[in-house]
Amino acid sequence: MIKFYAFVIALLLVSTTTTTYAQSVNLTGTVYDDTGQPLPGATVVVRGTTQGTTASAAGLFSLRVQPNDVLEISSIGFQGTTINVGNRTSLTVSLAKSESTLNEVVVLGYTTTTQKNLTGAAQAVSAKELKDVTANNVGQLLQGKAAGVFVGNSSGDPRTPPKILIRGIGTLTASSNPLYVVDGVIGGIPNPSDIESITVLKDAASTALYGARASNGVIVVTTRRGVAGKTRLTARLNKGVGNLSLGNFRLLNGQELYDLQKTVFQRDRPTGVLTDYLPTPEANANTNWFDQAFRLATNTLAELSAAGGNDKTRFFLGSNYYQEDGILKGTGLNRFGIRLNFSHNLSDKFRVSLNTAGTYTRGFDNSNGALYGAYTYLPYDDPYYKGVPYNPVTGAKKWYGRDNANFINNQQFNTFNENTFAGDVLLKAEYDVLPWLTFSTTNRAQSTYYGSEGSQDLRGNAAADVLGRLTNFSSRNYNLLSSNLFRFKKSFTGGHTLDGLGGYEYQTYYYESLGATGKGIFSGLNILDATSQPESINGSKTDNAFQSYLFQANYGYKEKYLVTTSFRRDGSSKFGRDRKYGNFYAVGLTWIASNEAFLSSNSTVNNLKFRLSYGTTGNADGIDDYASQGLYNLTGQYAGVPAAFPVRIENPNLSWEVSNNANIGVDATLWNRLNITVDAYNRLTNNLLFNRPLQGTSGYSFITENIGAVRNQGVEVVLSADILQNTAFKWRAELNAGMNRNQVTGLYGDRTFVANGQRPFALDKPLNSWYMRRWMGVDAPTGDPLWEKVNPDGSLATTNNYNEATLQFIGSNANPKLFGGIRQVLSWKNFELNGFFTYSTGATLYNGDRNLFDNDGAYDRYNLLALQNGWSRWEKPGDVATHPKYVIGGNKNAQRPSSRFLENGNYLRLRNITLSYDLPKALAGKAKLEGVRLTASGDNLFTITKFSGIDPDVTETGDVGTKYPFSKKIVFGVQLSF
Amino acid sequence: MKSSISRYTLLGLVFMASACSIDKKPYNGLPEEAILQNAQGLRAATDGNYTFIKDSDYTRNLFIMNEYPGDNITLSGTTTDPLFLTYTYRHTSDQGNTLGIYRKGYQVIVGCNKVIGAIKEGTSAELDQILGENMFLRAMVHFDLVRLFGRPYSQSPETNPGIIVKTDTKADDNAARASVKDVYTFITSELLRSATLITAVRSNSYASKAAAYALLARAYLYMNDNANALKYANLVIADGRFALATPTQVPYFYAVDNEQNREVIFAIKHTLKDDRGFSAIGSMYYTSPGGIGWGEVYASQEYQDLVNKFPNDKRRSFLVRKLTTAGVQEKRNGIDKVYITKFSNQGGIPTLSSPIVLRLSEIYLNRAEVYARTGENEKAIADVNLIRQRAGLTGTELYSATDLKGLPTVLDVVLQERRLELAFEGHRPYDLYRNNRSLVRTYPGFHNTATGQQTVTPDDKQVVNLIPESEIVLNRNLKQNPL
Repeated sequence: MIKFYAFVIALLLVSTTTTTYAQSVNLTGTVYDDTGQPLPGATVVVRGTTQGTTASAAGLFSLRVQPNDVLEISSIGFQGTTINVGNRTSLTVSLAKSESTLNEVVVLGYTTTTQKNLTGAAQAVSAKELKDVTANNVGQLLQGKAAGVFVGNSSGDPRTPPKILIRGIGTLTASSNPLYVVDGVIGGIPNPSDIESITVLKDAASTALYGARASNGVIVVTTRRGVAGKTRLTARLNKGVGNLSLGNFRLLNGQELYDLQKTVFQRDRPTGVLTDYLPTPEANANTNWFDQAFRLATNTLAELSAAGGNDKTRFFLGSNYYQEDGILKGTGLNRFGIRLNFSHNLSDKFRVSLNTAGTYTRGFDNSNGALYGAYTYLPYDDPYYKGVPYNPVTGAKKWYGRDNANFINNQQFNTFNENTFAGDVLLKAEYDVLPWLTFSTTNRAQSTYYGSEGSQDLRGNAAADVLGRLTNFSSRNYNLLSSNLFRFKKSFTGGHTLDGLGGYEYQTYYYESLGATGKGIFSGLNILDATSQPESINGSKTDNAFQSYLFQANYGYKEKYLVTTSFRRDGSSKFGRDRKYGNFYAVGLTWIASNEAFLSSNSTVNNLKFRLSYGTTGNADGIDDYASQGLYNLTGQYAGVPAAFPVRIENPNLSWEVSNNANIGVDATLWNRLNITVDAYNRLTNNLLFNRPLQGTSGYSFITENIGAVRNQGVEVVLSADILQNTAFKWRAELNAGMNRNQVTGLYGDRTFVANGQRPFALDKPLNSWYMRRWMGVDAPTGDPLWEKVNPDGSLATTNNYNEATLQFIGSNANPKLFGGIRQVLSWKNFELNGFFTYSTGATLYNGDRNLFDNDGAYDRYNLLALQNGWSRWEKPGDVATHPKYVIGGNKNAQRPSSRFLENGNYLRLRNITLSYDLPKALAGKAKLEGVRLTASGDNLFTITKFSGIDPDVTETGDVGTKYPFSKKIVFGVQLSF
Repeated sequence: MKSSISRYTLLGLVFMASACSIDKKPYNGLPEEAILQNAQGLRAATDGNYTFIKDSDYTRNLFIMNEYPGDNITLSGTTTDPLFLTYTYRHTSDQGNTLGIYRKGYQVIVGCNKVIGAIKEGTSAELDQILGENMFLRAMVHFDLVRLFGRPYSQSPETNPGIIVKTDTKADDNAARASVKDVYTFITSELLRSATLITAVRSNSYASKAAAYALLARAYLYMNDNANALKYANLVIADGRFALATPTQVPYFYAVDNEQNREVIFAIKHTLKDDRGFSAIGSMYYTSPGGIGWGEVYASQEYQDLVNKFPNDKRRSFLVRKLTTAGVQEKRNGIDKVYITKFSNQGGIPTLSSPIVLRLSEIYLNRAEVYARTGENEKAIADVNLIRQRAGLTGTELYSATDLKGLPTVLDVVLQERRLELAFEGHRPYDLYRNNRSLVRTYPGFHNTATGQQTVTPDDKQVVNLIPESEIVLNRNLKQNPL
């Protein structure tokens, strides 16, 4: 606090001693593009100050200036220019279309810059690139589009967002999720329909201002806004279908399974009654449960927006509707969204803006366990009996499946739906206190209301005993944030510039929930009032708060050398009494070599920039809101009396997890057509927020402590090339690649190993290293499973006793070594073909649920995975096989976890291919339209992989279960602009 | 200009000064100091220890791991639930249920230790009662764990490792397993102390003096200490609070609330809020007419034959045949579906029950076993007949010194009656191994899908569970049982 006051006082002193004003005059001007059309929305700024304005619809602007001012005039997609004011009072400027992306604006959250002046490692992705894929969340849109950003999908359910990791996993048990920033400050609603661009902030220099929260990187979302000029209306409609895609995965059909089980039964139980065990061939239904569970599913995207304004007021008004049925019957979502971004200049000095957004999302899941059922139900069982869905509990006919349930029957009766209403209001006011000093206050109020309803009809199995059941759950949360900054920007003679900011931020979050279940309810009703008896109630509350002081100062010299420094002090309610605050800082150096005299006129090297940064960022997420406080939980009861039980040990020393990030990068543009960005980084995270597992005899599961360290090192490359540029046929290629190596560099005490299931934490090993029994194949004489046994003297042997087999590191891990995306854009006249691939190599996945359906008989009442190419099942002594002898009831724990189920997770996927056609302007004009664009696109049309499961695209843990499969989608779209 | 700067600066300063609180307190509980400082808090913390025991990690695992290695039940198919490994004697060191009960068990123990450590004995009768209840719970959990992880007391208890005896609240103790004998010594001395401290009479959902005596009788029986087993069994029987159920009560015995059941000495109380649905103990044994419950573990053919020998035996009512709508016996994988209802239908809820830990019938049968061992055959037969009369059997359906109904010894009579009466309540494997007898299964089931035969001798290494391997990683002084 004291530091902040000192800073404010210093600012006051500076402001009172440097105010010397020359005579200012009013300058008016017009900005045109290179075809002579007015360029509305162009930005005009007095260099070294925060003074500026925006050109009107007619390209007009006016501004108070002084003779020695320099104006910087820029517009997205055009090359910026500078003009010395001198004694002018009017001027005409024309901007040339930008062939390169150098002058594209990059939004860094609190601040914006151009690609050219970017000092940190940050990658911008435009709306067009993002929105080729059809999905409801930013994560899936971002997959493969930014180097070093891993996006892994745990499910094809349209309601489930993927896991996003920026530059690897830097922590053991805390959160590795990146921070979201919408329109400048933490939080907000990243509705894909509203997005103008996304910037991924990766190194310390670019994330510095979110320092304490930015350990896992920052995703900065900028929403669309209006530009001065004619109001533009845009309408877009996409309509498509999705279809199940099973990759290499195949289960046995009824006949195949029957043949196998009959042979085995007759071999092992010659006196047994086969018809007790297997259906008679006549009754042998051959149900494909995947066909029963899945369907063709439709999706729709409709957007309507209006954007416009004049030189004082600008607006963007957007509304949108997204609907995606899941390919799993009974699942899906639809979303309505609306946004109004409004800004107004009260005076030359005083600007206000209000961004409001709301979304209402409805999701439903009436699948009733169909996903698990599709993988495991037996083909012997027919879901229907006498023409109606069969309820196995009645016993009317024999049911062979392990689970005495039929999802087709339950789907008639049980429903689940949820709805989320999210609202966000962002109010910003900015006042130019002095020509070089601006005060801004940004205030966000965001709230989410969630409600769900689960209904179990009395005719279904779940609630027949209680004559129906209804569960309602609701929760609400709010997030309040106030960010108050002084920004300054000043140029000095001799080419020196100084800018920066100082400020204070406070954020608080609160959540509460209430749920109730009643039983006894008439079919079809769904209000708790209609239940005859209460069954249970529940409710909870939680909250947290953050407080920050932040400072940044940047120094530039003649646009050749840039130095950025920042400091941030952050407190969080989550940490121990005396350790709530942490200090974070960053330093960045940039040298724009292409602005040096010796390169400035070089025709090959158009841009060359070197970047170096180092700094610290923090993490407080992924631990309990009150993780440092000891707790006797009072939510228990015994015999109806409230009871208290110990659940958490106090740790008054708990504090921030800190990442130390070093980054070195080069940006180059060659021949005006090839852009190269290469970054190398070293990110060492220490004082990890680690839920250190405790011995059972401690009475607690874990204690949250700051221990351990993880290092991530990597290289990222982004290439884009306009291979054919000035011909009728144009070809642009883009490639990004991220390589990351991860290693645990510290644990605690003399520990070199901390148990964590199949992915323990071990010193000097990567996270997600597989640790399990090593599969040694099948014993040819007996068909037994074999595992490796490491004897006490270190010698190796094999064993068929699962317990004797040695737990060990297998030598592989789940981390992809190289991953990214490849884009090819071909255009000819009004046609554009855009193909986008994602790829991942080097990850080893654990296809764990093979233990259910590749079980050698252990679960003989589940269906069985078909043998893939190169696989074989042991049948007689001497067989050299990949799969052990099939034994009803299981073959010596063969199906239990071991390296048997580890598989290569490499893949290359055509994530999207889009063909679009712009109607000729003249034709569109006849219909009074400014533009018409028609598109046809396909998602996930093919995947090249050896993986035996449905999909090798999984989350960072590398675990594959009974995954909701992804879909292949075909989508047609039309976009009209007025 | 200057004045506007100061105005905005001032505004900013006011804002900052007013919004600096980042102190937050949890809504769902209190710090340890606040709980362990007075009688109300200590009582709540004691109830919290009962809550831990009620947790399915403890109760469900305990009743499964005690019963499924026996021969009263048959498993009708394979399952991913670790109960499969328990039933088939394929124990692994990464078995989910052993880890669950091990960790939950020590959670109870440490919870007790916190309360015990906060009370000075003799402060007040109220606090002594709390102290005694916690000592009982702590001893009971040690007893449950040593039976699961330590070899039977009848086999070299001085050298076989038992479990860690935990009497403090230290987090990283790196303790080693005490011998089976030392663990039993601890258990009996603690139970004796708790019996003197507990003076209040509460419902049978809570520890009591009688519960301490009853558990002592069982522990001494396991230790082959006949004199003490007899002594404490007699003390319980002499307590007028408890009475055997009558034959008309027997069929409803397990559906009645335990407080209304005069035979129950201690039960783990489950209320409506504790209905575990498909995770209930009873869910494995029974599927309700509506379809709740897995209903995959049935009474073994052997047990059915035994209990069906006497049509008047009221204990037959705990076995319910599942028939199809057409009235035909339903089968699963060729095995008759014969549901067991000892853990179902409390208050009419199919999956709700308050599992009984101690009841008077067991105490009589403990005494009968002591009598049989010490050659007091008449007394042993008298106790057995009491239990048979409770089940509605009379006259020639009872035993006499001259009519052992084909069984070779009175001890066989006692063990068979124990099997009949205490079936599914987690006694059978211990009854066998304690008396150095083998488990012999000769009935269809997934212990052996080919022949139905399985024999486990009392010295088999799989008679005990393996220490969870993840615990050994955390505590290198923790030694594994033979793999």
